[in-house]
Amino acid sequence: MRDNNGQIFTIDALLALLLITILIGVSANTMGIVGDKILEYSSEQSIQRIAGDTADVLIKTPGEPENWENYKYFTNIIPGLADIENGTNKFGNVLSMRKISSLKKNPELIKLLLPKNMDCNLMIYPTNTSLPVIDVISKTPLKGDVTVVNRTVLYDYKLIDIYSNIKPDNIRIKGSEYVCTHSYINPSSHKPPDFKSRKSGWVCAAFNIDLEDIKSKDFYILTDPVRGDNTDFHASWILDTPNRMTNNSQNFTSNPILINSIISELSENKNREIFVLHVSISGDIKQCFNTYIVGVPMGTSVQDVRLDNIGPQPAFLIMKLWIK
Amino acid sequence: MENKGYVIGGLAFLLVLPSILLLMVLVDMVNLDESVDTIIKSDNSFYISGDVERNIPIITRQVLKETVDNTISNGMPLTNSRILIKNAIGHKMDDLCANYQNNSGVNVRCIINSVDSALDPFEVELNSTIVVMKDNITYNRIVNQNISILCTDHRNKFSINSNDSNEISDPLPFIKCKKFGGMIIKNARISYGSSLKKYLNGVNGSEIYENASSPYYIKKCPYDPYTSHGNSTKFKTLKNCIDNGYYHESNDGACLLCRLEGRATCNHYGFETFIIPSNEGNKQIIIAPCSIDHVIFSNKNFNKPYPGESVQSSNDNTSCEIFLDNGHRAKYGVPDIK
Repeated sequence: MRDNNGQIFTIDALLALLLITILIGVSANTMGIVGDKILEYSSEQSIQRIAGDTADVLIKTPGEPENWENYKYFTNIIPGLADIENGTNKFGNVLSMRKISSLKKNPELIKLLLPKNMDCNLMIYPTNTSLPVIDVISKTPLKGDVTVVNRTVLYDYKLIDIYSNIKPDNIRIKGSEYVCTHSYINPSSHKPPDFKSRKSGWVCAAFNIDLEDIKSKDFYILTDPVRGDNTDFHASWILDTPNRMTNNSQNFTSNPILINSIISELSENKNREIFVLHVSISGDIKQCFNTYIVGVPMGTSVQDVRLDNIGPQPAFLIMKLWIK
Repeated sequence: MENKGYVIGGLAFLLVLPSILLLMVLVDMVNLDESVDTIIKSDNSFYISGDVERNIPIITRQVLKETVDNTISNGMPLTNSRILIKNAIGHKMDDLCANYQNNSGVNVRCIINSVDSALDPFEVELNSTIVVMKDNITYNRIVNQNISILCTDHRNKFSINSNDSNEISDPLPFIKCKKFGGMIIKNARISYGSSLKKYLNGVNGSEIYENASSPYYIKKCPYDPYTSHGNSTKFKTLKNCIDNGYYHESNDGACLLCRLEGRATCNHYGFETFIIPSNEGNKQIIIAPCSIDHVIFSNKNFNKPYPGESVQSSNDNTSCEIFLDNGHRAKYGVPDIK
């Protein structure tokens, strides 16, 4: 640029500078936006990772120690909900109802799995809508971003203990049937059913209950499928002991049958009592049913005593996390 | 400067820099697939490991059943049942793991470390290591499982269903008596014919065991505590236990793994059952070898079967007679010999 032509900037240079300024401005703005998006994304990923990992720890591990739900004081405990039997996760991702109940009573335990600035809400929705929703940790999320984790799980409602399980299929095989004490008194009338010639009969099983359980549990008889009064063959049952046999048979009903009074009457106040359940069934294999004697904690509502609660049930575990 | 284009060239270069930076940022944001892929592979390995672990008890029961059946059919004791069963389980697990390799490409191995008697005589303890490898992810853990030798666990609706193919039999009577001939299995009971009497050759009162019988399948007695057997009119509970062919926990009786080796007693906590003399026998005999299997099958070189006195148990239709010493009388709630 020559001073004597009176020019400081050429028009090209001015245009170029203008273009560069615009481009740099747009780039800077874009980088700013991208930078914000990256921060937001990494923050989201971080919360999602925390949510996923927390759900994994709850669902896949039994906690530390494995039987933490039996402890009275919850110091030095890591919560986990996986049901472990004999050291193995027997059915794969089955949650223990006892652990869920313990976590429900002590919701502060979940803080051990979360960063200090986060909180959560945990609910279990059974796929069978007739079963109640389990509200494990009920907190309301704050306004703002909430990360949700939804996992399909099985939960084992082990508040129900099975003491006896009579399956008529078993008696079709020679050698595995139980020789009943009644067969000594009435050998002709207390025989196993004959499915080949469609003759009805009795299926029996002995079982024992500890005195401690007799005092602390309610006992019911359940059938699968549920027996009603509208069937051709009136199936019946007898509960007695090898020492105190009785012929008083009673019919099944469509509701669980409470048998506390019979058990108390037969009990001899020993540390462990032996009982025998006899079930009269039809000779038609299609009308056969399984019979269970179950024990539940005393005072459990009869509505909770149901076959759905025996064995693992599918459900959705939904956990919501947010920053406090 | 302007004549040589330095100003415009330099400014144009400045334009390129931000665009390169923008490009680098875009490429970084897109490149996230790798971590998700790692999570999926890791989950897959974990689930396959769980599957292998859940198959171990099923395969163990199959192997136990096959081993017992083979021993029963040839009547020969095993040299080392624990090693043989461990190897057999290992072979079957290798076949299972090969299937996983073929189907999912996951390299999984299950190494059976040991098979031994558990604290519960009706269980077998198995220790194994499961190793899963997929690309650069490795997962391994040591698993310890107690596996029931009984056919059903009535407390668990989802346990293996009871049927003839799952019940495990007692091999000991066949190892001891098969060579004498005449043993048959009928209605889930072993009928010894003359074989047991021949086995007891020379023992006082052994003639009572002509046509004796004992249970074929191992079934756990529900009449617990065992003293309840004797606490009943005419020992009805004892009679019912005998009719059902139940086995009882015993410090002296051998566990299943030792029974496969032909041992009636062992250092492990085992089980015992009654061997029932035939009703056709000599009613004058009051003292005879004790009717407990580990007593009758004990090593005759060291311990002759010790005697017991007659115990009659009956229901309203049938009766049976067994011989028990004071030790077993106390165990089953039967009054002592006076």
